[in-house]
Amino acid sequence: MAPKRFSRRNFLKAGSLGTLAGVLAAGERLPAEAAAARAPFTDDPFPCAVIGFGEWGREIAAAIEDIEELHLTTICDNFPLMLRRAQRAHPQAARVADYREVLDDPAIVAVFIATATHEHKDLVLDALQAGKHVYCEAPLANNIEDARTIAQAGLAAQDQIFQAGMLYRTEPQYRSVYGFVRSGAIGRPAMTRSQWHQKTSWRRSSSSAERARSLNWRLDKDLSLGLIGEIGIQQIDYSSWIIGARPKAVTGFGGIMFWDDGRTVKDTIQAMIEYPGGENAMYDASLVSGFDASYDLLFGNDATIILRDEKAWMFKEVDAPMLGWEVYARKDKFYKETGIALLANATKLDALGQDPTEDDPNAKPPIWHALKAFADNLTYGPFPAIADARLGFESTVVAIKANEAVQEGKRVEISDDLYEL
Amino acid sequence: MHPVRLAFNAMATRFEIVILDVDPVHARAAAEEAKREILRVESQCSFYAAASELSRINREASQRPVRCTAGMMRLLQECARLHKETNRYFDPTIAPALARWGLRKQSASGRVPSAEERRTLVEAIGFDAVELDASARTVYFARHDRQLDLGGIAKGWALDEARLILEESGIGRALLHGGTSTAIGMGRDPSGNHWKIGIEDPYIVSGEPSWIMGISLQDQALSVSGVRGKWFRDDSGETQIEYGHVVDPLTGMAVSGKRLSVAVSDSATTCDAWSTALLTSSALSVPSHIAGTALQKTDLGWTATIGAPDPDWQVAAEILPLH
Repeated sequence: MAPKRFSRRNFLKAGSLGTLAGVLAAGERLPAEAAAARAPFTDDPFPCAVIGFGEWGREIAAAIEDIEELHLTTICDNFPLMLRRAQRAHPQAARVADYREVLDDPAIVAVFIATATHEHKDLVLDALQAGKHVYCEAPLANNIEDARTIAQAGLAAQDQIFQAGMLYRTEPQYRSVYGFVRSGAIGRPAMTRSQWHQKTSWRRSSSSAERARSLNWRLDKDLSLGLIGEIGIQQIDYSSWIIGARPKAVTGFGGIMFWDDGRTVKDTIQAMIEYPGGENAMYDASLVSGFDASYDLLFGNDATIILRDEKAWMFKEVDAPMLGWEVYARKDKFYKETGIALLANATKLDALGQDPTEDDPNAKPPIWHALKAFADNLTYGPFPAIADARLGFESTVVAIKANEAVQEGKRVEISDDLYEL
Repeated sequence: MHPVRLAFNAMATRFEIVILDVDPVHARAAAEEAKREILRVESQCSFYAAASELSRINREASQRPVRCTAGMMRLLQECARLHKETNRYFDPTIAPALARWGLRKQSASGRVPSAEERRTLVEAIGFDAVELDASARTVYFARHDRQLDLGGIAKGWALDEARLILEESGIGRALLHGGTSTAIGMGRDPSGNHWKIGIEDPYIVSGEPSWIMGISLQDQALSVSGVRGKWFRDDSGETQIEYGHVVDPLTGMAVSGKRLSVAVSDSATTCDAWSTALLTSSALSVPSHIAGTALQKTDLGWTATIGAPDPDWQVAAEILPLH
């Protein structure tokens, strides 16, 4: 196992919690965080657990195995089939059906919650109470009350990390483009447009009809935030980050255009998200057509940027000022337009003697970067997560209201008080 | 029973999953899960994608033991088993030879390496130099010139993994294939018979397909290898010779002539490795758990050169078994 960095921050963290434990020991239950905090004094990676081993839980578990600071010790799922899959993919990890076993294990420092959205609240609250650091998938919850409760608990646990699964906040290419836009490279941001297209039923299969109903919570409007809430939350959050404001209203549309199989969420949706400065973000998602997959467009008066597959290109207006460096940049043709490639790590790759136009051999998926940020926080923190409880809450509020707009086909305002914690 | 069909591109070919189930909604969901599994294997095993797990192993394993995923370790252990079982005729370190022959990519134009080049190639091939530590889950290349290329086995592995997903979903009747050269039949076809696969004569390219044989899969897998596929014609000598994308790891020679091999067993992974080995070797005995044969087309039709078509296979009249 790779040696873990022994940092001054870890030392201070453990010391402060040691004091806290001493105070609480007089009559109150010794919080489990005291046990968790002792772990940094070892040279081993941080023992952690994944709760929920569905499709996304499997992605998280795979990413954990690829991060040297983390050690996947336990996988929790109440579906025996998922535990069998866990055994195949991660034979070294213990497998448990009851999440209480994870929380009661003092060796486990952090938990990654990847269950159905409506199941997050109890898990997060219990995990924080048990002293675990928590990574919770986005959206935080399927209703504002639960999301607020989760976020408040996350903010209150000051000696524990709470990170929401807002993937683009930690993805290098998206972060790079954010800085690029903030430097004024596209001029004044005017609007954004994002899409997510994939031809799939979005349905999960099981040999048990009862289990299939449980697995397919995404298709049930009473449990799921639909395409815009469960998927679009990531892209809408990026729009809000780029525009630098919280949405004030959403107008939504949608229908079941193809997958008329008893589901109650729309399989094709469109939405217009309004910002206080007058900018709009247009979003559409479909399970019917996979054409053109997924991308984000950021329009400004000097240039437009497209992000897709963790790559980005800039298209300049003819009257835009010269930036200087673009003369030397790689350019790609897109029909009649020429895109200037924006490479988040070009300098680093050049330094390694690799061609930045080739596939990056060190490329990692967005979830890896999100978990690496979490691992770095465990190692050197705790400091406020980039995607902290407040950000996770605000994004969840937008997702909930946007889904409401789509399901009811109307305009829904998001007043400032809804964002209050 | 409602047939549900899902087709998609993966591993530079077309995969197809056909499921028979009373509930088409459930069948579609199961097919999609199987598809995701095949795509996952593709991204893990790609020789060309720089960020794939296999590419990382190829970059780093000659310098130090490289930790790999549990799935990759299982696959490499299967490679080791099949390498031994086929007397080294299946060898997933064949990549340098394929590159030298110009047979790596579909568009590549091939050339015949000299005898000296082939001797050098043989030195650079050998799965024996791939050291697997199952407990530490690491891969190490004991020789710096080793490269793993799982192209000969990845389709079968992906289909085996997909079958497992379907079984876990309660699917009992399905046909899965990758590029029509590797297939798995589960349960019965729509007419209630076992799924039947026809082996087409690749040298009759016009008119109706000409079937060499038809094989019924009784919860089995099948793999076919042939010279036609990725191949080139060498016109430099007095006679034209067609060379295919399978190279003999013991001699460095690409297979040539009008040849075809077929393997049937419980596992598509095993079939892939054995159909490759049977195409390569001229003297390989097929173990009892595999039904396999190598065929050559002559003026008399197709002749079995190794083994013989299984008695249950519906052999066309022109096949001449060696018995």
